[in-house]
Amino acid sequence: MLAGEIINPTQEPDHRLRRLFLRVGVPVLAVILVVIVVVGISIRSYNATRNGILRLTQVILNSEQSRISQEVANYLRPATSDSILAIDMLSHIPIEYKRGMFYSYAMSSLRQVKQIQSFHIANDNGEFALVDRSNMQKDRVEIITLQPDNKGGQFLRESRTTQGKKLDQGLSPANAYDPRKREWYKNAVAAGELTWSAPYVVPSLKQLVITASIPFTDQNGLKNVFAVNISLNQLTSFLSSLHISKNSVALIMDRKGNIVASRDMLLKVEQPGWDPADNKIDPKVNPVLARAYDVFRVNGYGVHNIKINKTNYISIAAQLPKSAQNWVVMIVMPERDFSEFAVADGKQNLLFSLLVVALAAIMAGLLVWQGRKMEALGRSFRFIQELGRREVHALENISVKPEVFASDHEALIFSEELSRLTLARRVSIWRLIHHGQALLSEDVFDRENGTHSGGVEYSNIEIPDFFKLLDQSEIIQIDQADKDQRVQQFYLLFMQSIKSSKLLVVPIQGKKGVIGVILLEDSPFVHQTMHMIKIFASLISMRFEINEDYHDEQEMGSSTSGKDSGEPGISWLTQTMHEDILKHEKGNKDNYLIAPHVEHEGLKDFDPDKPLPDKIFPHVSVMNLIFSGNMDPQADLSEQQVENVEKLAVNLQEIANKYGLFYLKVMGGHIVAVAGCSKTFDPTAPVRLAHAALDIRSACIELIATTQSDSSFGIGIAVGPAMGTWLGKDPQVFNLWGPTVMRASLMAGMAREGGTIQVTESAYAFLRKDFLFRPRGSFFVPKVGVSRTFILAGRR
Amino acid sequence: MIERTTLLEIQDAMPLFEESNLPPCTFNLKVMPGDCIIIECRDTVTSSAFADLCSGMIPLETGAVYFNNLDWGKLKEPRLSALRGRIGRITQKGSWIDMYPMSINILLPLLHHTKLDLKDITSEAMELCYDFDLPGIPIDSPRHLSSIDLARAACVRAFLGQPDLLLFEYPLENYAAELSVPFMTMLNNAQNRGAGIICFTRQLSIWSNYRQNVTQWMNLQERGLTVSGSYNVDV
Repeated sequence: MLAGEIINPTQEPDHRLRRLFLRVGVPVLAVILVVIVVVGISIRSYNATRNGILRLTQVILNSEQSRISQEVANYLRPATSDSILAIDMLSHIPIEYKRGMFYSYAMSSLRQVKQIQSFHIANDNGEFALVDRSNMQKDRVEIITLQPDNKGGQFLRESRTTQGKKLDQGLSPANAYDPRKREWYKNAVAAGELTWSAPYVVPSLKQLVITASIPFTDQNGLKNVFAVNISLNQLTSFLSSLHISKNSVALIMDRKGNIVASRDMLLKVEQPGWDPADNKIDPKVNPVLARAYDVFRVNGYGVHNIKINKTNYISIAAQLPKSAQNWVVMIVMPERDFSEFAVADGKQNLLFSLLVVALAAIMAGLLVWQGRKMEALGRSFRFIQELGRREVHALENISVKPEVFASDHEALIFSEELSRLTLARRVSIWRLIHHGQALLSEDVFDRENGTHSGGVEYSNIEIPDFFKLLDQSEIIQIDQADKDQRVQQFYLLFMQSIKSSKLLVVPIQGKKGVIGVILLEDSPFVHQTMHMIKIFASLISMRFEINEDYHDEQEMGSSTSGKDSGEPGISWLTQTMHEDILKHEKGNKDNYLIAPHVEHEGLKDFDPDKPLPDKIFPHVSVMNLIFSGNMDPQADLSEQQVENVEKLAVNLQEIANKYGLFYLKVMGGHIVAVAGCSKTFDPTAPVRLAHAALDIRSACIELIATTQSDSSFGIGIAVGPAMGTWLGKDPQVFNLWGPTVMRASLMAGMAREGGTIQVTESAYAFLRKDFLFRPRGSFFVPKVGVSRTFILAGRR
Repeated sequence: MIERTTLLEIQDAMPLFEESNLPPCTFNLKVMPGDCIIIECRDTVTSSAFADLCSGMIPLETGAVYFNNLDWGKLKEPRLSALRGRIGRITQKGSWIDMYPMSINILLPLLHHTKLDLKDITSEAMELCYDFDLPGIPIDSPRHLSSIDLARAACVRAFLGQPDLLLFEYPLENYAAELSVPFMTMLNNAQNRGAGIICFTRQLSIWSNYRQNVTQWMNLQERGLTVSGSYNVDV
């Protein structure tokens, strides 16, 4: 399986979008639906209320309009029905009583009817009489009579109280006043019926007045015109007093668009130069009234709705009685004056609705949250199920292999199953050896590569802080191992090779305390699998405890094996060979740390001054050590580094001498050691070389730990045939080559992790009695084919 | 420990004759994790068609081809392509996109199928390049690369990402001397980690050094896929 796959084809698509829709979309849609429904209901309710109000408004307005019409008709009645009554009487009484009756009627009317300003009467003979309400005193009237003469006539002015008492009298020139030439007279005679004049201003009175003229014929057969002047001021005041709504406007207009009466008419009348003939609606000043009038002209009488600047208005155009010159009463008001409370009610409803929506949204949010929680719970449940399955599988795998508890069997299954359970990148099982002074890796399983290794040994001196950590006997989890002081040394030596960061330290408890440790690197499921890790620790503890005696024997045996087995042991070798080596004069030292020489007596006479009897060596043991990690051009090239390497070289020489190696050569980052360079097979050669390799590894690890460099190295050991001879002349250099040398190099190259010692199958055959090994697997070796290799774990 | 579940199973599969270059017969094959099957096939067109069959690219008249227990015929996008991303393949024609540099050509499958960090992919590709004796990831366009380096790059691309199944069409035929060592080393590593390998060849002798790891020797010819027994050649 590809790591980090975007789509895992083995898993059914989880329809994330669909789940997201069901989990989030549906509640959100439900809320949106609730909002739409609430808003719809609110709008519909508002409209229904508004329409109801408008209908009610129309009824009210019609009623109001009728009242206004009646009021206007009543207002004008003195000029219409009352005047008709008057002329009827005037035309049927004897002529000598006519004037007296006129005066009586006029006086009576002026007393009773406020809006009447004056009465006129004139006939074909040019006779003229006027009864006028005095503009000076409230309860006085003036009676003016035209008295013709040769000088253009005179007006006889009598001032009387409204009760008829004469107060004073005077004459004034009439300036040839002829009532028959006046409009009110001519129009009435021409029409033969009641006629109205256009409104006009009487400047002396500051009154807007209209005149109603009615022609009649008296007993003598003369044509007369009876005229009544009615002040419109009272009508205007009446319109002003109307309060249909807060912003309503009422006015009376004639069919030419002239305003006959309106609320602010009186103010205009008082303005000098104001002409009632030009008193039309100005669309710029009053667009609403202008539009209402236009609508009336187009649609006629009735209630109309108009909209200006996004504001709805109601206009009513009503016809006044015919006696009132077909004037039109117009009432205009904003719709909101009536529907305002409906809007307020709608807003309140909307507010309540929004509260409902908010509650619905909260419920939906809870639903989403609940859904997510359920989903997380489901995932957790599935994970627990899967974990349980893996746990059972792991335990079953172990249960069918009881041999994992036997000392002569490897127990690779522990690390594999732990890795599978915890998904740790690397699981390593370590055993405390040398009375707790060193840690030996029993098994290291790399999950990514699927490989096992082991045999790495760290002493208390190399990683003291880590040993202190183990003394605590507690499970410890470290998130950043490279920065944690307790495991920093261990990180440099072991963890750095895979650059892991998280580390779980699980001590393995034995009868006498901690006997080992399980290390899990970069495991994402530590907490969930902790109980299984503890079970595994107990199982591994069982294995360690069962084999405790065996391990002790091995540790002891490594020093006494020579005596017990009869085979040449290391102490014997060291003793005998060291003496031999001291006796022998060293060869050319120019190119060697330990130059080629006789390894020990009786095995091979090796002298550079003498020709070699054999140049083919059938069983040479070759060790190759390759350093890596120093390719960085920015690497520290200090003298301290050189000194450290110098110390290492001295150390290596001591080791080579100790184990009587044939030669030890250093070339750049490669160290090559050879033992058993003879025609006859030396069974101690691979053993000596392996011991030397272990010591060299310790020396190198110590160097790396001291310098804290990121170098790593691998060691390879191969046993087999090689060719060798002295090459060149003065100086001569002894060189070995052949498949064994190459394979040792390959083994070193393929074991790059923290000083792993990898040996070939043939070397393993020679070393397995004296050393602990772990199979690494089969590998393709050039020209050889597939071959098994082994990791040298330690001394038996 | 490798889980022994069938990796690839061709089950009585008869490809549509009109849409493939395979003989009109029934094919059966089972590849387990860690298996290495060497198929001797002289006809390069047929071998390519059979590799296509294994990759789920050939419509079937009858039978089924399962990879990772998933039936190619029933799988739909995007799982189909994702599953195909688990196959590493070396084709005869190279299948290089000339408009992209080799680095993109090599990394493209993993960039397409995974969300791995480019740095990690590059690092893995770099290691493979070293393994196949390339000094680094080539960045020239494919037409500027020598044929041996193209073959090396093809190997890097095939092994990159540790695919579950490796389909190799005559990988060593022309470059056995240069490629056999790193190729077989990587092949062995892939086998050890549980990958299945199907390799077409015309020269069985190339595989003499690797014969221990070959689980099955087969023939692909007009009669279909037949078992040819173990390979015994003295080298």
